[in-house]
Amino acid sequence: MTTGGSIEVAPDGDVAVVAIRGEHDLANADALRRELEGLRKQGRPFVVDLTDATFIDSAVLGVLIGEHDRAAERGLRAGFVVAEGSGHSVRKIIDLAGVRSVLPISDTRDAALEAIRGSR
Amino acid sequence: MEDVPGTGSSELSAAGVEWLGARLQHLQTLSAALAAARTEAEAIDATLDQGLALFEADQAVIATLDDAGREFRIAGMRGYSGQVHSDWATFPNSDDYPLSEATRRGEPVVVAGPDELIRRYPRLAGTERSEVLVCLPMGEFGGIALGYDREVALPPEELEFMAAVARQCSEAIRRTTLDAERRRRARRLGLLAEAGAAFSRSLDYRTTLLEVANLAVPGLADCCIVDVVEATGLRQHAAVHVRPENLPQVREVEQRYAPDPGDPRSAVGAVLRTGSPTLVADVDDEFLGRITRDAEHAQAVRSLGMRSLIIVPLIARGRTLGAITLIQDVSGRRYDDQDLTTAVSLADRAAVAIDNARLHGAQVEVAQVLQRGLLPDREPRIAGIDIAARYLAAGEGIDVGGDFYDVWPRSDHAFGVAIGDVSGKGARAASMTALARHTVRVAALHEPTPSRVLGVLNQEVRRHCPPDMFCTAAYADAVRSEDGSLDLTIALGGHPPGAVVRADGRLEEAGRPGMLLGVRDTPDLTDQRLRLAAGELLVLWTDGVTERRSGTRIFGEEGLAEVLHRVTAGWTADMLARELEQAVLDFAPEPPQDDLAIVVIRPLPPH
Repeated sequence: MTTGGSIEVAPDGDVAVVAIRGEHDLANADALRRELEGLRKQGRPFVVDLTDATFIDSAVLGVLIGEHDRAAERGLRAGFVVAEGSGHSVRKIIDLAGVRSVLPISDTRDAALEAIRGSR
Repeated sequence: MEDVPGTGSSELSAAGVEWLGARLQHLQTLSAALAAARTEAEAIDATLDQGLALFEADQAVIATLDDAGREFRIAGMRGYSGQVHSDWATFPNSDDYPLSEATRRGEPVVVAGPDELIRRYPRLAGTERSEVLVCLPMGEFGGIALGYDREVALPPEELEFMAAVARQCSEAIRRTTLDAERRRRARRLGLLAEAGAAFSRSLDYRTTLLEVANLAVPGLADCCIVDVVEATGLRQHAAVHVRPENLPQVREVEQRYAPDPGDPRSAVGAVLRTGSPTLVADVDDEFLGRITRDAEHAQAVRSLGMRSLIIVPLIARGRTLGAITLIQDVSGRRYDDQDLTTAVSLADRAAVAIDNARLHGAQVEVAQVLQRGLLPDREPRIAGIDIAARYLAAGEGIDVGGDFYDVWPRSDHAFGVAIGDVSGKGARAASMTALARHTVRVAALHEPTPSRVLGVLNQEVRRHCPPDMFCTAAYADAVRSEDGSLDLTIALGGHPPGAVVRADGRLEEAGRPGMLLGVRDTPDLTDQRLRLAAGELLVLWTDGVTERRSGTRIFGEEGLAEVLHRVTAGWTADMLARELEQAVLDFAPEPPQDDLAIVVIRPLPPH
């Protein structure tokens, strides 16, 4: 199914940056969910960076929305990066789902981190 | 023998020494050959070849006694003509025969001269005779007879020596039989273990049946046939032969004389009826006569060269599913009770596997029926509108999909169109698609706009589905005018806009993006109005179309547009729907990983 997608987690201070690269769909959506769930349980705010994502499908989107909502319930901040350089289909699916008002999406990683830190 | 040691002289002559040396050499060769023998056949060959040389005989024959001790069967011979072999293939164990007598008495029997032979054993009159015949017992195995075409003197010591050698040979043969038995036992266990693994690999009914046959050959049979009871009768589902070139003949006989389980003669039928296995250790004319309809049939079956046969029923949960037939033909091997036990064990495992596969198949069918229940009963028909829909569930078997569509009349001149995609697969997603379809239809009855209809659906999703389950949907309300054109109001909830193909070929989007349903209590949803003239087309699809991938390429809107640009005035809704579906399928070599649904609406000009 997926020809190649990876998830890399690196700390930026106390925020975990989850970089999603390549293609992600139903096949590996679960891995992403577990990753974000783990961070939530650790009480860590996170930023999901989709700058280098080339493809995501509705299953992955569902995970992002779901995990964002759960983090919010715990009072944890979560941010998303969708850049000009992100895959066309990535931007498209987010636009079609009309979730820009639901998910805090920034153009750059720095902007996302600032949004998380700035609002404390 | 030119010189016989021990006859008198206290010293050995030079010729005697040479003779003794040769004898020791032959004895050594015989011992080595017996030690090296791995099979009964090899041990018998060694005995015959080396025995002939050792005892300087002209003919030798070994006959084995059957388990009941009633009959001898020739196991091998040297120096006799083929006629002797067929004449003496079997003979009774009675003192009328010198070899029988020797075996019974446990002592060598010597018959010197044809006259003595006829006198003592009148039954041997008319047969090929040796000048001297020496019959030696070989324990429980049977006996060996050596023939000489010249006169030889055999003093007691020599006969004792010959008898000792014969005993040694019989021991070697017995060892090989035990070894072979040990190997067969190990092979049987291995076979059953392999069966367990093989059957768990596939849930496809037909594959499992073929696995059964492939496992049995050649370990347990030269030929294996699996028949299954189906609604229309007994059907042969698998036939495997150790020599594949023999299969056509087997099939031909099976076809020409199709096994009728209702026929009282049918061996397979008997097994199916009684649920008891059958072991026919020796397929003989009597057996053939019983199971065949006429002489021609018997001859046809005889020509298959079956030597030994086992038929075991396939029974799972009290139901007889069919039968496995195991045949030994080309190898000439003979089935015994151990083989029957193994066959029954194999059949037990196979029956469970087949039953599971059929259950799974049934489940798949149920799932597919369920799936179709999630879709409109028949191609929706709305007066004056050309409608076509294509639906492809991607999941294998019971992985029922989450895409749905619906088209239904709301009045004489109005109808509703809905399409959507529930996240995930399986029963949960499937039940949610049912909820979605139902909710949209009901909401459309009292909600004034499509955005309000989707708002209701959103509420239902929030209320009834787990927090991470979402749904996309597009809903359009269409009203038909007298001139045949269609006034549409369309709203999208996280669903891609539709496409309109105008009369002049221009493409337009239908609907403005709205929020994915199930995420928020009050989603942002917009209504858009558009008009479709008679002959123009509206296409709605799910992301299984646009997100179809091949390597790094993606079908996307470009792929869609490419098909839509080909549309001309004469295109029907069905043509476009099929073209689009085909384009999606052809885009990549492997089958789609995601469901896809396509709905095409084309208002017809009034007549």
